[in-house]
Amino acid sequence: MQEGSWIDSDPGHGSNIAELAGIDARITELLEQIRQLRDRRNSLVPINRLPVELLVRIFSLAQDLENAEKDNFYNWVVVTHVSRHWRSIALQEGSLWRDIIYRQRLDTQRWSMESFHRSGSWNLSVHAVLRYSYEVDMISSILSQMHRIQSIDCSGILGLSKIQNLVQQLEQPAPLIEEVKLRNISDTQSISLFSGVAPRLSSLSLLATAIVWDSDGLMFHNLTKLELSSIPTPIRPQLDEILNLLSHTRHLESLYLSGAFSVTETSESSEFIHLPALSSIFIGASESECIPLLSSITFPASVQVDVRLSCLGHRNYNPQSFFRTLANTSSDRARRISHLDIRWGPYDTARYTCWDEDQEEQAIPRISISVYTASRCASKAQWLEATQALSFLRLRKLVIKGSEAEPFHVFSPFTTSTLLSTIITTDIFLPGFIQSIDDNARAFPGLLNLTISFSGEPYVRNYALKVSKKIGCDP
Amino acid sequence: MAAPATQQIKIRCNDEKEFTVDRDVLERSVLIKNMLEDVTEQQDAPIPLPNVSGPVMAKVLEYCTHHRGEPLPSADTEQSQDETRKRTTDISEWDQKFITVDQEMLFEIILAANYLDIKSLLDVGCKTVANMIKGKTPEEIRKLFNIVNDFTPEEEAQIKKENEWAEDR
Repeated sequence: MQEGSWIDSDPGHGSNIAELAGIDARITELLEQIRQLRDRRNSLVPINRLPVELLVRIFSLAQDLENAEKDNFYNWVVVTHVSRHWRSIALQEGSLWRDIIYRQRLDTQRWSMESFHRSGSWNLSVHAVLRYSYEVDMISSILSQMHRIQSIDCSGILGLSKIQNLVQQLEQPAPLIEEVKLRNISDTQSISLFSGVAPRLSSLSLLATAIVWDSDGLMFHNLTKLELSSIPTPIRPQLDEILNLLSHTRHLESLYLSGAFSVTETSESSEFIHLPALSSIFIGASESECIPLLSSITFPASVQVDVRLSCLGHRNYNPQSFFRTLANTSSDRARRISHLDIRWGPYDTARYTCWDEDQEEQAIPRISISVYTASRCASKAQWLEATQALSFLRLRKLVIKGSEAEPFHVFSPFTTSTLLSTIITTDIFLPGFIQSIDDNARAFPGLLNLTISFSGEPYVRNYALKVSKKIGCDP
Repeated sequence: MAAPATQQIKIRCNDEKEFTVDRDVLERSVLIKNMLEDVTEQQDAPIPLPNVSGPVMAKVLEYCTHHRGEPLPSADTEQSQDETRKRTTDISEWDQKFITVDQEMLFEIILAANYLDIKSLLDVGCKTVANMIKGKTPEEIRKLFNIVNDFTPEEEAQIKKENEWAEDR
């Protein structure tokens, strides 16, 4: 007998089929009635007495809470799986779907596209990490709606195929864009970012990505934060171009430039560029880049200046001339500096933070300078020579931190009677080091406190990790 | 010289319960603040609040009294926070303790805060509910809020598909 043939062999099958169909229809009807009752029941529970706008607010906060946790993107969509009422509210509210978050995970790929479709006409914030060309295509399709993009945070890898598709979208006018962060997007060609049309742009951060710099500056008028770092040398802007850009940024509050520009012999600015709203500046550059930039801009005296001087390739770099130039460039401020913080980093870095003497003890650092060298810093003699240029600093406090084997070399020059306290932190424990510091510190007539801390290297853990000593006389 | 006496305002809830409250406490509510500003003459008649019951108003007044004198968020701040998504989801310790109530009261407080236009209280209520939702499965959320699954088979199929996406991590 063939499958299903029992129906054919049943003489009364006609009436059975009709009855089955009737029962099925009745079941469907009852199921629908049950569903409607469930629907009605849901409308009576306390939480569903809240109006739609409040439920939307709650869903939005739930989204914030989940997104704040690492890797929890799109977990908040569970609210769309609770009931028909909740799902309908969430799906109709485009604002809940305006954050497009893409990571190397299949779920974020699917949800980011779904989010894009559900967002309706709302402004979008796009956060993407791209590793493959198909991902570039996907994000490019989202960025094709540049007219409603409010922020972009996009990170790629240099040399990614099809990146031109993304660049093409980034060259569209962006009337609503406010924040842009691009990392490793284009190292061979400068992007004509938004074709210069981004009137609401307030934050621009570029890493290993260059844009066309000869803009008329209209795009930068509302900029409050500018970060340029590791711009590839062939397309790195000239200092003139950076200065031209800065001349349009009257509202700039934060400036971060690291490996961001080149200087040629002709790069000389005839006039100062005033940045009245600036509150912090970081410059990571060589001495020959740093000096002309610092010499070309003016800013409020309260600005925190952080300079990381790059001297890679110069094994015996001597920063004396830099210190001198700095002293000359900012003589008014420099003369008032009385506190100096020197930090020796694990890669032969030194960091100087100076405080204004006029400030309270807990004053905000005014000027900080870090010096990077290719290898161990210059010899003791060279350091002594270099740091003598800092003698204009009437030091009252000195902090030395880092891994340099003999940081004492650095603070030897500051053997002035005004030096009151010294803190030394080093990652390397050397036999006799404490004794050396101890003996020499006694030569400091005004020294009150000497703190030596060892940290970092695993092999030092068997030794005393922190040694504090109190030396010298009463104040 | 003695400090000027704080003006006392009478309010009447929908269950006829009346409260007499310092004006600055009541002015945490933008609704009442606007009403008071619109009235030029001293009025003895209580302000009717037809959407709030006495027990809920008592809780709301407890909140307003604790937060009296704090600056009210401006409409611009609110809008800007919503636009930039720079809201905080933190709730202060006192507020957390205050809002630890049964669900019925929690949602009544949220509704009252919405009606009376007390932004900070509305925030505390909504954040509390969002925290209750966080990290839960749909079934756990249903159980928590006494909701039943009312999806049609077609919707169930779509949801099943979406759940499969979530498993592709």
